[in-house]
Amino acid sequence: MNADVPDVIDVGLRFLDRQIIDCNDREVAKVDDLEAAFDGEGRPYVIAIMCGPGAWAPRLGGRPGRWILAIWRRLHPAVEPEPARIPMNVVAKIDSAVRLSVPRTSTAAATLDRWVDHHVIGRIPGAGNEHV
Amino acid sequence: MKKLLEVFLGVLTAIGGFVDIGELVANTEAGARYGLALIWPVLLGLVVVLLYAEMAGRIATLSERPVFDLVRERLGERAALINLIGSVAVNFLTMTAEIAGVALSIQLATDVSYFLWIPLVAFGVWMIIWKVKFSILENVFGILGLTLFAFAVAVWQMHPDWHSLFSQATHPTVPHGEGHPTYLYWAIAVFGGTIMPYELFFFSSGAVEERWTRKDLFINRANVYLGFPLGAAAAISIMTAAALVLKPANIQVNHLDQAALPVGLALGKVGLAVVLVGFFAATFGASLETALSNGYVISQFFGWSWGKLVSPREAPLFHAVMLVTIILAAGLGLSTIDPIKITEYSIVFSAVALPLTYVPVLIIANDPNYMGDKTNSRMTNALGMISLVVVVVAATAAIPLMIATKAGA
Repeated sequence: MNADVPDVIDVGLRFLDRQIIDCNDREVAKVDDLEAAFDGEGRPYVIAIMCGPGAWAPRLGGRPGRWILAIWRRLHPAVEPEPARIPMNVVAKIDSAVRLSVPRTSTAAATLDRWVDHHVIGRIPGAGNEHV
Repeated sequence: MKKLLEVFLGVLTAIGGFVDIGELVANTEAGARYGLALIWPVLLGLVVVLLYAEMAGRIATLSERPVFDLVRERLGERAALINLIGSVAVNFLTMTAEIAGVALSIQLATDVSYFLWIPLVAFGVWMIIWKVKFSILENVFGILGLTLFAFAVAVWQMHPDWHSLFSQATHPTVPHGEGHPTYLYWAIAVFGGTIMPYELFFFSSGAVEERWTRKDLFINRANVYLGFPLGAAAAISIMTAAALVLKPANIQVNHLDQAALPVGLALGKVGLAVVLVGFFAATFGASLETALSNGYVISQFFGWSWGKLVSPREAPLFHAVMLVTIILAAGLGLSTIDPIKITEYSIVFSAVALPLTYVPVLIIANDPNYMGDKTNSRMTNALGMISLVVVVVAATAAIPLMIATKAGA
């Protein structure tokens, strides 16, 4: 068990909607939703952080939520799209932000980020092309 | 010594940065129409923005988080999303007005239509954000903006009757033939032009990025408490110049060159040239700030990597947001909609959107989880609450008054 990740947490107050920061101090995403499982005694525990419209649109609810979810599903390359997951085993610390032990680009939450980098921003001259 | 220079530069930047297209248009129109009877909204706006900018700077310094990041965390997703949509819409309108303002300033200097300049200005804004990383230039534009004090020199050169100016300002009356609703509508426009929401986003994001610490809190206070009042003084001199020259001549303000007219009359060509530099610097600086603010709030809502000092590939979505909004703003600017009208709407909608930003700032500034021992004092809270009432009244009254008066016609 990691001492910097508490065993018990108030999910609504201290976890949901928090900023996720990677091992290089760069922002990754927000904690848009959580995936929970139940242990043998029926207590819930968090197994992954979920990010992106697939996670926050259902929380938004109502017609706007349904529409955003539908647009996201339509645009997603997968047939049965799942929201991006960040498993709890890469979470290094939870303080004012959720800190990961891995770089931003290695997480599933950075898919859109990588796509925009690769197809748009990285192609504009002067973007700083250390890796293409 | 280095610290002193930093404070000095910060204050100069804050003075120059205070004035933008909103003040240029609203204060000139108000001065031409009502004399000095609308100085009080400038002063009221100044007090409100002083209080809340100091809070936002303090929040950013202590929590190391910009305002919009905390808005989502504290208000939850749904309220923050509504807030985001409102703030981005107003920001976008403001950015369009600022870019058009730069183009109009160049038109005044060159006599070449502003339509030709808009794409070039938009490209320049993009290039600065893309390559220069806008840190030195922030000071350059701020300091060049100080040339707007030519308005104060012009007022002084016109040898006005100071006593009558003072009594106009302290005993505001609605002129004959003008309705009270129209007067109040312009009061809200001047108020909204003085405090635009993007200023807080930009200010707090900058504080986070430059990694202010507790020791820098006094820089925050110096910037706000010295820079903003001096900026407001420049804004008031613009209104006074309009009141002295345009009002007696019954000139209706439809173009930006009418704002510069009093200085041209009082100080001649040199004065006019100096003021045009001021127009250019103030609107260009604000174009950059509004463009960055859109990137900030959207990225901070979704948790994307952001920062004016971060390389584009480290923050691709942040840069993509700015690229798209700059192109759209240039498009709207080219659509032949009158840029003065765009400015008027952007400042009135600014007033409407203010509570969205100010309510969470006041809540967070009282939360010891973020602020430690630096939560608001009782005095700040009392003044903050009164300001909030003013802001909410202005926001609620703005749209009904806009409809009733046909946007101040």
